[in-house]
Amino acid sequence: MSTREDQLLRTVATLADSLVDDFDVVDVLQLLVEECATIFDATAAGILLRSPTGQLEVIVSTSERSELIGLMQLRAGEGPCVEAVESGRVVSVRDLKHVQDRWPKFAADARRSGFAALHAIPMRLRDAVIGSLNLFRDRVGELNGIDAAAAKTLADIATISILQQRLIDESLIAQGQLQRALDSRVIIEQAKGYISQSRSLDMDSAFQLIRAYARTNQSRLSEVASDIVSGKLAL
Amino acid sequence: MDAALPGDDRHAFSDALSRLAAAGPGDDLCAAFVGAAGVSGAAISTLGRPLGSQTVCASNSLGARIDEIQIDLGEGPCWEALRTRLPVLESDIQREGSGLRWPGAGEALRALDIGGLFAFPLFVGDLSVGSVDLYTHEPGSLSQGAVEDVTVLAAVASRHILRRALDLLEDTEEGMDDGPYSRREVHQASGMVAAQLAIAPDDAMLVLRGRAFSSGRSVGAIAADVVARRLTFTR
Repeated sequence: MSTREDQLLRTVATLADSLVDDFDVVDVLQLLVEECATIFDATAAGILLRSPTGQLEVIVSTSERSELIGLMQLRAGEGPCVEAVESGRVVSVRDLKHVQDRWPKFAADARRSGFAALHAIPMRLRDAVIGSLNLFRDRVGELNGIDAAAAKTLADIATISILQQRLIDESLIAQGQLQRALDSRVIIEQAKGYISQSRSLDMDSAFQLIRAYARTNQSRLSEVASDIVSGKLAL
Repeated sequence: MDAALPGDDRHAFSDALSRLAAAGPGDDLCAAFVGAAGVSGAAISTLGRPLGSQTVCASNSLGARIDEIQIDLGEGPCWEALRTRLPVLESDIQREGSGLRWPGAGEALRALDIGGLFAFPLFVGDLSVGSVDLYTHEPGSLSQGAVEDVTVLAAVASRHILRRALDLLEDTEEGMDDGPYSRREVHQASGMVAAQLAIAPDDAMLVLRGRAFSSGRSVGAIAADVVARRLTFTR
């Protein structure tokens, strides 16, 4: 195994570790872009990320140069990094001198940046595109297939990390709420069984009876169910 | 004699990670673990609070049975792994002295045609999700690398399962889903027995488990008999 593969595997391992422990999103992404610039045939790397409120922003980059180019694309509203996010597809520019037709507003800024080529990978999980991982190069040419595939894997891992961390941060995952909601499903099944036995009904009829009672009394189904199995309520 | 299993294939790990990342709500998660660890089969179950004890997927009926035994008895390597937040690795379940910490489950598991049994906890921060159980036909151990890989995959799977549970919370005024491993009938049976014996449903569950244990049948089978009115409990 080559040294480069070692580095790649170490990066995968470090990123993967972030999935297991609590981590700071920005720290992990900074690590990712720095590793990308080291491992891949890239001079610099930057990540565009949609904030939870929906705005695209340059969240991390390895150098001011790649930061600027990301920013410029945001101001212009067009360019490979932005297009990768909006289309959900890889945008590979082998020569930044020849983008005038495709992205006229971006073209001049691209030339001034001094980068020669750019490989933009969408950060996506199924239908959710949350940003792009962008590799900037000093030489003209496409990123080789192996590096492209490996970079995509890193982007995928980072995407999962961010999405899941956001999921955890949202108070939706208040454990109590989850617990209560899942408990109520169990209690509703228990109540069906209880009524099925006490009223000699099949499960569907038992459920209908419970639901009708809840509606008539404008009570929550789960509360009625709970009262039935605790003996507080006899239907 | 312990032989190291082929758990060091980086492509298999990368592939498994991608598969878990791309998994949709109804997709099987077990195949990724089987592929990455090079084992004979796997089963994933949610255990205890808050998600409730239920098998989520199994790569084959043997895997499903391994988890059913432990859910029915409320003990076993999967429970220990979840409680300690550490993998429980038994290279030879048939060996004299294996499984002393869970005698009931140990005996039932030994009756199955399995050699190695490896349980990994599924959790997200403080929130317990369940476990993933891997087994091999022949005795053997997982390499340290494989243990690390499965730990990472388990973290991804934990978040996936949690997310799926949260997505199902849309409407809490419903009972449980009826998948291939659903414990819905078990809860209905608990309700019926609660009415039959005028006891709380949790106590009724103990009655069902006691009958299952003494008759050498699964709790699911006893519950089916209760719901079909082939079996009634009287004071």
